[in-house]
Amino acid sequence: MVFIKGGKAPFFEPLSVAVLQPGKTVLMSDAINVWPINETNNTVGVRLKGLTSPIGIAVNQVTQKIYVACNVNNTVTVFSYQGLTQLL
Amino acid sequence: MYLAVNPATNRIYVCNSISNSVSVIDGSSNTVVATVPLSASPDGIDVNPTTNMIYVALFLTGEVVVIDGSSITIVTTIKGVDAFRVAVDAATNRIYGPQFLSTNVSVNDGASNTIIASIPVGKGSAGAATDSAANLIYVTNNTSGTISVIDGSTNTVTNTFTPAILDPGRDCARHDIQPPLCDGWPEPSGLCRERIDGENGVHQGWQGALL
Repeated sequence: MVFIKGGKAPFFEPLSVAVLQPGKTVLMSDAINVWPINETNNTVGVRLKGLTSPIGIAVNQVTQKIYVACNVNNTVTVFSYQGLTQLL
Repeated sequence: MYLAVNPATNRIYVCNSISNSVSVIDGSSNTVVATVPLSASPDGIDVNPTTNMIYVALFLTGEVVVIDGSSITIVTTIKGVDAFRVAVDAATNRIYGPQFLSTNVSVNDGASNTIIASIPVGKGSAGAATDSAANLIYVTNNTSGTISVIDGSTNTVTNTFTPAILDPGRDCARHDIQPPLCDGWPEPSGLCRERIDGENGVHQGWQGALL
């Protein structure tokens, strides 16, 4: 057991980025998770769940879908926008 | 494995880094409809929905391959870009290539397929995306742990920020206690460190996993 003063903020190693809502939200991948970032205050929202080694991100703003490429299982996962705007 | 979407055609383009190719997916059926073979491993990809041109970065050769989305054929190769990834601004027809090793982003003109500028950013620039409406380019600096924002009209970095979690405790899914009773930052084990309070609730420190 150790005693450590204070907390430690997580250090992101951002890999990919995609614009989710222009002027509002971008998505960031760090190869472990995909996170939404609020552009106005640079804060990170709730990560997208159910992904394994997400590498690439792309957004179709017409169909409002998010595509995430995962290296480990060679898949592309498709998310709907709906609900994601509440992540921040 | 990186990918890009053309919203105009609802097609998704996926880099196959090991098999040296690009897969073309129909977004309405989510099926692969074509595969474009490449000479080297593709690392980054983006689409200009206006011109229907797909740009593929081959980091090992320093080239960017341009694919016509209509005929799904390679139309030209831009040499000397040295881009790790690519991002296209459809409004300006410019292609931005973060260069992981040089900490620069190259700016390429999509009409002439030539390099027109180089913008210094953070260390390990690994990815990029454009906001065409605002003429902004976002670049991930993998080594620095930051994101740079470039103004496309001046080719200068206007903001560099470190992504920050506002409410760290919410991600402690595997922890049975929540802040302020834990420090809220999950370790690789998934566990946070527990707050230790002494008499009268005076905070003494944290106990838990070794860092």
